[in-house]
Amino acid sequence: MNKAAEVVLLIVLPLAWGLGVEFLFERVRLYRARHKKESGSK
Amino acid sequence: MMDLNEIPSHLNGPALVAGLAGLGLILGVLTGLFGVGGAFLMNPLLNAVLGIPYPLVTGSSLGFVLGNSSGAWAKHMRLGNVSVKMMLIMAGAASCGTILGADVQAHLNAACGEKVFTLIMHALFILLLLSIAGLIWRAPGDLAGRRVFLQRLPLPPRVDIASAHLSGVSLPGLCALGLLVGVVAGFFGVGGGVLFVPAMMLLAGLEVRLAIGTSLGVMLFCSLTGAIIYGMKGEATLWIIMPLLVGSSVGVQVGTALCQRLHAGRLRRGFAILVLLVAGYIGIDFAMKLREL
Repeated sequence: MNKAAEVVLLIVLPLAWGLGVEFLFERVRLYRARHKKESGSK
Repeated sequence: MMDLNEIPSHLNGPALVAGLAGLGLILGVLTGLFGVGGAFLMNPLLNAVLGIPYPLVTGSSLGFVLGNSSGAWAKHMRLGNVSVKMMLIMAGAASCGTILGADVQAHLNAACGEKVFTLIMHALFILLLLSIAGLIWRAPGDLAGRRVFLQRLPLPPRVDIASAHLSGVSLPGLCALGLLVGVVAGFFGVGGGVLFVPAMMLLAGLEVRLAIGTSLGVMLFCSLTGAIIYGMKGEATLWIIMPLLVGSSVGVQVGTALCQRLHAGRLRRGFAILVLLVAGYIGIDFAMKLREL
């Protein structure tokens, strides 16, 4: 693999992991909040 | 790309990956408990415990900081805790600082040779850890209420930062602060939030949430620049970055859950002692390496 491609991977993978995990946990937090609200209103 | 077995370390193959993931997990727990990235603890330990050379540690650590700070920055951005204007002004200077820091490290390494360079880095990390332990030990004062240094600094031109309710902030002063953040990041490979969040509150007059969010944004640019520079030299590898990031992501969740049960405020001094213990361990390693010299 050439150097430029390696560096792009070196940046993209950590960034994707960081943003992806944050996105995932935010979704879970929103889902839990909505679930709690719905079960509270019943 | 550097192969897993090509990484100079005391551990090899899967054992190295497991060790890195374990270290990432511990750092993640600390992040969840105390809100610090923990690269200042991780980097000297990666050298002293695992035997990874400092240039490779620094470059890979910047990749780890990139992944770690991007998620946290995105969250702060969504919550409106980032002064974008201040972040962009400081990010330019910080990126230049990162290049400078990385260059200084490379020259020092070339001039001193690997063994002496490791000793110098150990000594500098001990100083860094001691000052961080001192900062953590003292109770966090209300810095935001004090007079702001960058508004008093007689260095024009001046800028207004509406999002932080600040006017007449010295632009060269702000750039100098950014440059300093970058030099520390480029040289040590640390995010340095534990030092720069209080500095941004004290010097730039940001309130704590804005200081954290803006500092994370500046760090994102620093780590991006640093990862490119060290990556081009072959001194950063995903084999180190990714296990640390995966371990850290799990650890943060554990730390956040523990934080609600343990009252992290009370553990603050315990954390300062942990930082001192790590400094002590690096000190012992320093003495051993000095005898071998």
